[in-house]
Amino acid sequence: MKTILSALIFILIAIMVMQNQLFAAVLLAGWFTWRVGAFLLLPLAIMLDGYFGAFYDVPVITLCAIAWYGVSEFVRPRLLMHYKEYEKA
Amino acid sequence: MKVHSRLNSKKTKEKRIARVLFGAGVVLLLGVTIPFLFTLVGRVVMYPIHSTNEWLRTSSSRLPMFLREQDELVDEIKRLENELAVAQSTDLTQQRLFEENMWLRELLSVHERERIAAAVIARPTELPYDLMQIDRGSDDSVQVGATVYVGADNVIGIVTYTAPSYSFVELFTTPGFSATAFISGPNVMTTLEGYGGGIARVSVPQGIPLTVGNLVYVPGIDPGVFGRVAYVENRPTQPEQYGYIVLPKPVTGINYVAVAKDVVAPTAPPTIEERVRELIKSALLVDTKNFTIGTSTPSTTPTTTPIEILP
Repeated sequence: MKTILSALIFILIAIMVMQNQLFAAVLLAGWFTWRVGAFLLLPLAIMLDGYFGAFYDVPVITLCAIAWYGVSEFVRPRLLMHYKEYEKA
Repeated sequence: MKVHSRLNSKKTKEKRIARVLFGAGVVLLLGVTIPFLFTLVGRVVMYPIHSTNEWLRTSSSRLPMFLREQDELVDEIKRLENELAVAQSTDLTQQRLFEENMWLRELLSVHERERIAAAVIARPTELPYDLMQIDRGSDDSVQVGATVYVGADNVIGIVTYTAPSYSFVELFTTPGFSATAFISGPNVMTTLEGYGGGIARVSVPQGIPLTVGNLVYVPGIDPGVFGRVAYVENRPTQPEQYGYIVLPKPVTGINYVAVAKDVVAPTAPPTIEERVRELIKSALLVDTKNFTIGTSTPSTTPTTTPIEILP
């Protein structure tokens, strides 16, 4: 169920960016990062920049996604109280 | 041992993050170097999403229509909110102007005429249409010819008969009634004529921008707002266009009216205009039959030839 929901949210983020509903896209990306992680947002951002032809200029979405990944990977462990890796250890 | 294991895990994680960031940086660099390839791949991979997006944007199916209409409704709400804000500010301006007007009237010693409140005791369809009976008569100083108002300045008719305890009011909408009226907006003087059935009519020549909502005044009465143009009949083949004015309230809904205590002799603007025009004519007209040209003698200092106009 979680996988299906995550996949739907992933597609929805792409559609929201295409629909120029950036606020909704950011909210969904936040939720996706919290539940799944920001790693998958990187290829999506690259594909979106490719779709918009942003590599001819400045690939803003990819840059934002890289920054978001960096930030989220440092912030997420502090937000999640029962982090799996710590539990294993 | 446990602490050591946690430290190892943290180090591994940091390494992973660094590797991912490095990889993303390399891909970004490649993308900037060969944008054509990335654009092509991006468009191919994103094609299903693109199709979905286009379906949402252009399809006439229920879901996309619903979503689009929702957006339109949100825009409509925003537009209406803006309009409301503008209307509120206009209302404030109107109130300020009204207060300023009252203040200026006070300064100029313009006093409101006294009025008598009267209840409507008979109206159409009990009486012939465009006639009302009120419960005040000559005992209450109601005079024939007094103007009758609904509200502060909406004049609706004239008292035509008074008995000691009641009076009859003939509305401006009575067939055959006519008065000089001024239409605000196109700013033209015209004749208001009763049409019957609670409707009055103004006629203006073609080409004058008569529109629905134009205020119609009866300048012979102060304050004399009669109403607004509710409908415009404009046939291009006719030389005139007609504006129909209805009473501010339906006749059956008028329960109370205000009757002016004094009868004001109405001033007819066309008469004034005619007089002014005559005065202007006489002031500019030079009577060529009765004038002499004076001459100067050579002994005196030369002067210009004066023209004496004899009366």
